Amino acid sequence: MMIVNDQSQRTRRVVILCVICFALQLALAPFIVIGAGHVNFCLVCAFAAAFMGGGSTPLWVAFISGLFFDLTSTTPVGLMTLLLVLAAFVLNLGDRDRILDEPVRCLRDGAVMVLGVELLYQLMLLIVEPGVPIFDVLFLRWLPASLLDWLCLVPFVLVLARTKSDVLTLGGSAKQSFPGKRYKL
Amino acid sequence: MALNSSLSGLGKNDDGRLRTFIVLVVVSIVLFTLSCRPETKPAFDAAKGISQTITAPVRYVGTLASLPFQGLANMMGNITAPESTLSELRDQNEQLIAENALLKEQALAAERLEALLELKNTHELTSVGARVISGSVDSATSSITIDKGSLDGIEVGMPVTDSLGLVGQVAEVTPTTSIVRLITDERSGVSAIVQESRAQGQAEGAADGSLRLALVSSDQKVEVGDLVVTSGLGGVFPKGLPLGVVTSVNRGNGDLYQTIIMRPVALSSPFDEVLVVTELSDGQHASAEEAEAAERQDIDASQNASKSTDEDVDEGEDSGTGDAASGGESS
Repeated sequence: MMIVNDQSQRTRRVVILCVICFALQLALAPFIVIGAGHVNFCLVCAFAAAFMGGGSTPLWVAFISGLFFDLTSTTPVGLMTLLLVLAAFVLNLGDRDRILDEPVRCLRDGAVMVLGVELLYQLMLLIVEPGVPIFDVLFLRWLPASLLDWLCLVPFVLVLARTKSDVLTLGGSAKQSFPGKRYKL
Repeated sequence: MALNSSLSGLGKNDDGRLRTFIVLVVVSIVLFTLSCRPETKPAFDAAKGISQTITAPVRYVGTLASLPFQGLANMMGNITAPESTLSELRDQNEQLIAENALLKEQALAAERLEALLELKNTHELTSVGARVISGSVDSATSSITIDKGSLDGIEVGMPVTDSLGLVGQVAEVTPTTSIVRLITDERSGVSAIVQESRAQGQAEGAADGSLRLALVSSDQKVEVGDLVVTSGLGGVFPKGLPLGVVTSVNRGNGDLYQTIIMRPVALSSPFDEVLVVTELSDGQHASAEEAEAAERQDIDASQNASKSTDEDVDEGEDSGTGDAASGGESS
């Protein structure tokens, strides 16, 4: 029996995830646009961390990601932070690493949650700073932004699922994972 | 439902998670509330300023990294040319590209700077030159980040132009960078005038990147291709700066105002140079006659409204829009 404690692996992966996403948010997000919708790599970071489980860690990642987004954008501070914390909590209700067991389901849940977060974000901004036609908000900002977010979430989930698989099996094939545990028996 | 069942199933380990969740939600709500309040907003603006300053180099690197892809997009447009032509041109160009690239870049920069200087001289603008280092990072606003801030004398509300025309207005300032809200942002509004017919209105942004010329009454003459410039009303933007070219005009039966869509003439992209207008001279404001003309246009529109609409038309609403037409500008 070989016991592999992957707590430090998880922490390392979360830190790397945050660094990559934050760098992409600053460097590439301004150039990835459909209509008037921009991709939000901070949201991708929070969702990917939520799928990985790990107690309170996903909540903190969501909080920091949201705060980073708010501080580097032109919108009020705290709004994306709040939405990402709520989304991370809902996505991580079972507190288990879903990314290996059910990556497709993660992507499905992620799609629904992306639509919800982006919609609430746009509607809240519409309340705070009114004067924008609702049609423009829905079809030129909300839908394109949601689509971009989800498209960027896909490779992150797939890569994380693959790396997780390698970690659990020390490079071998993974047949089964143990939700809530950090061990490979 | 699922949330309830999951919450009821939370164990001891999950208590900490729930506690963390509640704390973070409360902190987020407090942050959001405070950042929306005018009294505490400056503190958040300062925090944003610090983060903008710290992250500016990464944005700059991102812009640099994106340049080849922007070139690739242009190349895609040339793919439809015949292969023989492309191959011949490729051979000829290969040797020249390397040495020409730098010269072309310098020539383009010189041209842009010359055009900026010309615009500056033509309109006698007191201004500071700046370079665009990034576009908008969120889906809520249309903005750009420039590499000059409060240390260079930039203040919130200052107009920003490029060599072609008005780009936008400074919305946030940090010591070394500034965020400019573009005229194509839906929350932007600039007093405008059609150069040919002198019809006055308000240029407003749209999410599709176009501009709408609002509050131009149906009896005013506006044609496709007309140039629309800033009117100088309101005293925020210098008058005469090009805003857009009219691409469509719709006059519905019984409509008080025309639906006019414009293509903005100034499109700032990364590494473009812009001018931040730091001071307006007396000659750059709208003259008394122009202000009077705008006022008269509003009154005419109100009179037409009362003639052509039914009794349920709200008179107060009419006077409200009239005020906006005669010089409302975003700040």
